[in-house]
Amino acid sequence: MKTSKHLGSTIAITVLGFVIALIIFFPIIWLTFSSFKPRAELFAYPLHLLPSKFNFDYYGSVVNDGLFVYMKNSLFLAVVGTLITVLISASCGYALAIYRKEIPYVNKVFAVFLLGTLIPGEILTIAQFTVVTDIGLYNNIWGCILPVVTTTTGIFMYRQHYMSIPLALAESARIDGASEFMIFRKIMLPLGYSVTVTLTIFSFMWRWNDYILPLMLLSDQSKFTIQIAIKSYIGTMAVDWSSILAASVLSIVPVIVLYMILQKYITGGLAATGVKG
Amino acid sequence: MASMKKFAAGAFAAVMAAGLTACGSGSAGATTGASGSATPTTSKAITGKEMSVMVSEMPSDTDALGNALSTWASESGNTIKYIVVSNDDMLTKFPAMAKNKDLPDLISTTGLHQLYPEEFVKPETFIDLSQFNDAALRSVGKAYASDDITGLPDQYTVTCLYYNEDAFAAAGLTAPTKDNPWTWDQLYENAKTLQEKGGVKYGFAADVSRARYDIMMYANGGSITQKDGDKIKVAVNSPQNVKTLEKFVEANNDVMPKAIWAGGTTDNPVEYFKNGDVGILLSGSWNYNTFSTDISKFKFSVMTSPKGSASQAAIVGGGALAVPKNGKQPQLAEQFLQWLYTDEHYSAFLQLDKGPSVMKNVSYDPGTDQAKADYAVIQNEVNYVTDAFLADEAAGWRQYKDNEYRDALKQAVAGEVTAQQALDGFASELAESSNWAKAY
Amino acid sequence: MKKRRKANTAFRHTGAFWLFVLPSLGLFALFFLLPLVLSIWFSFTDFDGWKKMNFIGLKNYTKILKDSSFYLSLGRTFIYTIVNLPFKVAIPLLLAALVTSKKLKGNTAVRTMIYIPVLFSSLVAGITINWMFSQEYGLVNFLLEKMGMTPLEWSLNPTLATVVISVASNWVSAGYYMLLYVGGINNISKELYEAASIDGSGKVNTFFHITVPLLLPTTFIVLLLSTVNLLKEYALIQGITLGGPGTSTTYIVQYIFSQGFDQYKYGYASAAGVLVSIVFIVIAAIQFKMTKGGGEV
Repeated sequence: MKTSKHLGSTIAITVLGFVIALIIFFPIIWLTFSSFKPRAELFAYPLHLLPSKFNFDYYGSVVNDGLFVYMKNSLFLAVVGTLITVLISASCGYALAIYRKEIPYVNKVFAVFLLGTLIPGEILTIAQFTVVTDIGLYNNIWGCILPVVTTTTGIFMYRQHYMSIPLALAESARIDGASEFMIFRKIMLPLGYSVTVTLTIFSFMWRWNDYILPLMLLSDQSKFTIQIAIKSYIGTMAVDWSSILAASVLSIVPVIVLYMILQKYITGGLAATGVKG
Repeated sequence: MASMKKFAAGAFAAVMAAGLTACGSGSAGATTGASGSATPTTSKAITGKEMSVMVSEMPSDTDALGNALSTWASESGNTIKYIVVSNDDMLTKFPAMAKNKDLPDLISTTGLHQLYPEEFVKPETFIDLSQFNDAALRSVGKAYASDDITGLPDQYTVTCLYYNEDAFAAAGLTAPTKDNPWTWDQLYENAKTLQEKGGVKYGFAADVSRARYDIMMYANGGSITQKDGDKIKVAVNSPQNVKTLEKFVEANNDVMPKAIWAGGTTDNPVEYFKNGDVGILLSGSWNYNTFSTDISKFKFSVMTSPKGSASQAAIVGGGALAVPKNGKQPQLAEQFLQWLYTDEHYSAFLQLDKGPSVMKNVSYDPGTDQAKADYAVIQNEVNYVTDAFLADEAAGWRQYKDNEYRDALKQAVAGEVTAQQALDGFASELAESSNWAKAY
Repeated sequence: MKKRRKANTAFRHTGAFWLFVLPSLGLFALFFLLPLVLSIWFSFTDFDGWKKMNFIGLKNYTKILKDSSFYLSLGRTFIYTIVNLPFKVAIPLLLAALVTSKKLKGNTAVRTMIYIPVLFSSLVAGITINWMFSQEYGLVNFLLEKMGMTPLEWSLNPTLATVVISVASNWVSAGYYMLLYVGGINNISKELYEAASIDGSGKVNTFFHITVPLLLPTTFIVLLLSTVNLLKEYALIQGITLGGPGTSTTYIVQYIFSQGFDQYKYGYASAAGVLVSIVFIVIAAIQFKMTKGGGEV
């Protein structure tokens, strides 16, 4: 009796889950099928979900145009950028949470970081470019990485997470003689596991999609990132949607793979370290 | 991301004026085989170098410029290094490159040379400009704010009316001829007939670009600016312009896909036409080739533009090749341009480009009779460029307020303001940023 | 007693605090605060992004403050933000509750499908939404017509156009905020739920009385980030309505672009940016105060 009720709700929830997911995902299915349509069919009406025949031409041509080279460049940007982001955001968010009771100006420092989300970033682009080139990072991939690794969202996520961890945990470690750095590295960083995974997913995606700074800073075609390459299909007269779609579908594969690998690990920090009873 | 509609429209709009004559009449290839240019070449041919070229589309051997560059490179013993940046992004990229002394040797652009004329080599220093079609040179190659030619036109396009022949037949209409064009009133009326009997959803459609709308304005004798002695005055809100806009708003409500010009969509009316939903489409001549390959379910053709209360009208535009002054090896780019603009090489270029010619002695020879007839109509449209358009372009008003103009028109079509209010508002904005007085 | 111990370690902890914060703060100062100061300087000039930069005092500011379309687009931005905010929080929260349910089989697939829209650029997201909601050729109107109903004027009716933008905005962000909530939910200890179920508390009751309150720190992030992102909505609109019909979906960042950057008036755009930032800061400060700095747990 109880099992059948359990089974019933399992089926109900699973069905509900898939129905919702499919509604959200359906436009993406459309987009993917469209990337195989011959150019003339792309905006044809009446609507057809499936292409008249699966056409791989645009995939071939974007690969010929060097898509994989640009993906490799983006991969470097994303991996390095994400590593730095996770490290500096974790330590910063941690400090903003853990010392908030004993150091009076902690929330003020946090407020400074909040400026990072409050100001529309677009208005700073020119000034940012000036700074980056003045320190000699023109046409250098590091010029695209360093300005963007500090992210308010990341700091914010860690701060909120560490605020939910009892301060007593740090306190008792101090009594045991652990240094502040050791407390962070040995106890707190593992406890921030779930945020680390989430931020890795986010940061990788942000860097993968970075656009304006790489555009302004990089001048060798061989250093270009995937987003600059995709944008270049917007032609003088018309937009080459077929190539944009094919390139976009290919370009999100690495991000999806990373997501599918990591999302399982978004578990609770406490559970992951076996603190629970 | 800036809007793609803006690019598509801007591409055409990013153009200047032209006085107009038909292109040369010689058929393609009916030219001398001379490979030397009739131009003042002083320096010796450079070889063994790498020329960097900034283009807006991934080059291939089937596009006109890509093919020309690779042919030149192998003939001259040089190599090409491309930097592919979308047209709109060049506006960001170019200043960034200039500030870092990192300019390419050659740029294929729709406006950088017009916006920043002082950054480019004047082509008259290395090529004979008299071999170019004057209109093309002045509309595509000339700076916005001065009379300097700072780029050499390569792609060239003109406003063009396409029509659905099947819909015309069903509605019992015949297309107007060169000697007997419609009036705009007739076009709107026939659009209604097409909608009722021709089996199309919309009788008429036009790209969202002021370079489309403005041919109605010029046809009715209107203009954006007026000359008052030496002074320029803002005339965009003149009574006849208000009337033109009122008529256009009405047409949007009756026979056009209103959402396009009311501005709530990024849809492209070109797709509506391709799907057979539009009777007559006002767009650019460059679409002709895409239509030939994409449209199979009905027959289409091109027709001559209608007369307004004053005349017929057309607007020309396109892209240019320009040599940055502070590039590393401008002479190399100059050498390529001297090579390209010879009859032989330019006619090879045109066979792939399939557009109107920018050189006096070279023209494109389409394969089929139908295409020949259509090409003749397109080529003839170039003659309807009006003096008012040329004067407006010379005034350089677009340097100030191009998008605002289109947005004002959109607001009128959307019904947020009246035609009078929209044009009055825009006239004030233009007057303020240009320091010109208002005429109305 | 406690106070004295605190005083002894105060220096050590202050030092540690700054060391932890320094890498972020240093980079932030160099690449964000410094450009910010430069931009504020630009806002008092007629800077064109390259060649021209003359000091013109408050001229940009007075011009903006006299421009009625500045206020109109700011007003529209507020309405858009307020209307969408509840959805930006509720939808991801419910999705997170769903995908963390033990009873959902195949949850990797479900999570992935919900997350994928987050990954596409606004350019591609825009065209996809257009395929669904285009007035002429969109799937939704196609289906309405098939069912014998009148197609809707998605592009001509200002309210419907705003609905399309809102759907699009939620579509591309739901998976993102959901992920934040999944982390939060997994952090809630299992014992709490077990205790609740022993007390005979129903699922719905548990959700509202245990899950939601304990997720407050996460909700605070989601609320602040989505407020700011709604206020800054721009790229998506450029791919869908272009601010139309007329000006009905023209929000404040688009104003800055169309009045400033698109016309090479960087000084003007910077001034508008500074004004808008001040407004955003005030809004965030109010939110921050109202939630007591993100909730003390």
